[in-house]
Amino acid sequence: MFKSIKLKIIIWFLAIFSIVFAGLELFLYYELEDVAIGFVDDHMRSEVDFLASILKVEEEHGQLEYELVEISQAATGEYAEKLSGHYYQIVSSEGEVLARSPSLALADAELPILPSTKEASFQTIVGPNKEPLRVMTRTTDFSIGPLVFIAGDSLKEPYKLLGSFRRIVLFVYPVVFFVCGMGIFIITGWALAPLKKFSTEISHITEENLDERVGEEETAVELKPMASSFNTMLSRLEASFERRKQFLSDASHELRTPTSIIKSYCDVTLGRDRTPEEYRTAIRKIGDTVNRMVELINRILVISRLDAKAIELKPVRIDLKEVIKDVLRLMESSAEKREIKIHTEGGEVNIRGDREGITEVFTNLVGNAIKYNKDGGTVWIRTGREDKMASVEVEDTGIGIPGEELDKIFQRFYRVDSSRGVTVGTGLGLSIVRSIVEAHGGKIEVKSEPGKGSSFKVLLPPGS
Amino acid sequence: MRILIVEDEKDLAGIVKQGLEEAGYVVDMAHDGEEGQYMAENFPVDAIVLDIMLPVVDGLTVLSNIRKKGIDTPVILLTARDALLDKVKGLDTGADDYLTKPFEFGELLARLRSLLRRKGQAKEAVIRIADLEINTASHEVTRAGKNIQLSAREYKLLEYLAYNADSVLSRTEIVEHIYHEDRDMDSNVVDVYINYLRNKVDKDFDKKLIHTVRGAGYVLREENP
Repeated sequence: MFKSIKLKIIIWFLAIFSIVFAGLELFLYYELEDVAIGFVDDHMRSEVDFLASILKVEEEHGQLEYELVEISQAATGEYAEKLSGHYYQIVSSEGEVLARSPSLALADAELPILPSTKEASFQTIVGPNKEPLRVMTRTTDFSIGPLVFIAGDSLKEPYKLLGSFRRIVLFVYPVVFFVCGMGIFIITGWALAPLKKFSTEISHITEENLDERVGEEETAVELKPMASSFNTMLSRLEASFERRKQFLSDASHELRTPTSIIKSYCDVTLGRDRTPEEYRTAIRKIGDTVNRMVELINRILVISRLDAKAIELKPVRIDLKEVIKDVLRLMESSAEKREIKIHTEGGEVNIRGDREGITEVFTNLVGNAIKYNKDGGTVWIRTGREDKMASVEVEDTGIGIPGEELDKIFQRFYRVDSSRGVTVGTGLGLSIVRSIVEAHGGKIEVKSEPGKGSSFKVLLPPGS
Repeated sequence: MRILIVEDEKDLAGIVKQGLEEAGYVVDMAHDGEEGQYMAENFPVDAIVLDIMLPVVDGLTVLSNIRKKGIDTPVILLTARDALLDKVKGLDTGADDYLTKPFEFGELLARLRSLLRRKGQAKEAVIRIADLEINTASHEVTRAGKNIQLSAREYKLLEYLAYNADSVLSRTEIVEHIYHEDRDMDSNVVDVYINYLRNKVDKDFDKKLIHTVRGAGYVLREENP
């Protein structure tokens, strides 16, 4: 569920939005409360100041007692109304109530006598009418001793104000939340649209149209690197796909020739009655051709396995000199038949490599050196070291390879023109050689002079 | 009928040659494009079986070269590729037919016969001249419903005359198309075989079909009385 970028963005946004919005609302609420209650406090303070100043004036005239009575009765407005929510009360230091506002006196109610100092102190309590009541107490010294002034103001009005603020917030919050949520939903959809378009474009590319590319120009700047690396990947994929297709097509093409030889032999031979000798000849030819096909199929398999890296190279310590000795043992007879001399030079060279693979490499190279040699020619095999690499050079005195074909001989199914009277092979040998050498981290070099001979040099990393 | 095979795969060329010879054709072989083109241009061949993938000069180039020189010998392309584009390209270059390897040998023979008939304007496998019928597929010859037994050489000669019915063929032409280049044949041999043929085809019938054109050669035709 949290795999969706859009959902993630929306959730994160709304979470942060909620915290910030709630914080802001709380801050505003407490500010408002401070202001509203401060207003009440100021009102009480001025009331107390007024009462105290009147009493002070009367005290100077020696009329304090009288005035205390006066204060209890002479109040007008809110203070004169019974339980109006606006009260005051003056208490002696002994706790005796000396004066009460008519709003209290009429109901015979009293404000609680709270501890008091010369500094005004405020408190919120439950008032005589069960309403929330803000109470201020302050002590002022008079000739008859310190008098405690207690004023009380109902918080009904400020609480009403705060209540309606709360209600507004509670109503506005979900609306804003919803609107912002919708907004962010649309915005993320809009922001993610290029990504969607990009993925649609990608999804339309299959193995059928690998040559198509994602449009890098139209893509958003943020997606350009992705588009570009995707296109690079497509190019590589296409090339590899093409190579595979080409190989498959080449391979089936190569199999058609021996197949048609076999088929033609069957068709023609069965076309009429023949002598046993004729049948023998035909079957022998078919057998030879089948062998050629088997060889071809084996090599195609080796190549596709090398391609797929399905052949596991088992590196062991190998003496190249020894591998060549083994190879020569197999080749001797075919070399002798054509009076080709084989010289080996150089000492033992150790590498780490796959014995089967390395043997295949030199079987091919030495085999070619004999096959494409002239009768009575020579093959030199030199082992040694070069640039810290183990090197084996196989040189022949054969027909050579024209310069323009040198870079093609390692291509699959490539054969130097068969018109020179040499029996052609599968056209895969050198391709396999190169694949194996490269799989070992080595390289192969070729030099040739048409009519004089060719020289193949294999360089392999030395054994540790 | 003389066929040129241009195929670099010697085993294949060899067995196709054998098969065609056994079917009564004279066969020449070339193993690369250059040699093939030379033979197509200089030998009097009646049809060419041409591989596309050839060393030195590829088959399509050979084909386009000989067509440019005005040689309209029927050509069957033989190839290991069966991509449609290749077929189209081959036929557009001037090939008359197309066979994909591996092919049925019988199909090659049938297509060759069809091409040779097309050349002689005949449409069917059986060529009819008056009451003479020559089945080019089974090599059976009948006249007025009667079976005529011919030797291989006699048949080749009759077939060649029949494919080119109504045109006069010189002795040299006949020798070149019926007998192999290797065997240096005296053109008098033609007279000998024409005689054999006359004995088998014309002798017992009033209407003669094989005619001598003095100083030119022979012609097989139904003469209007």
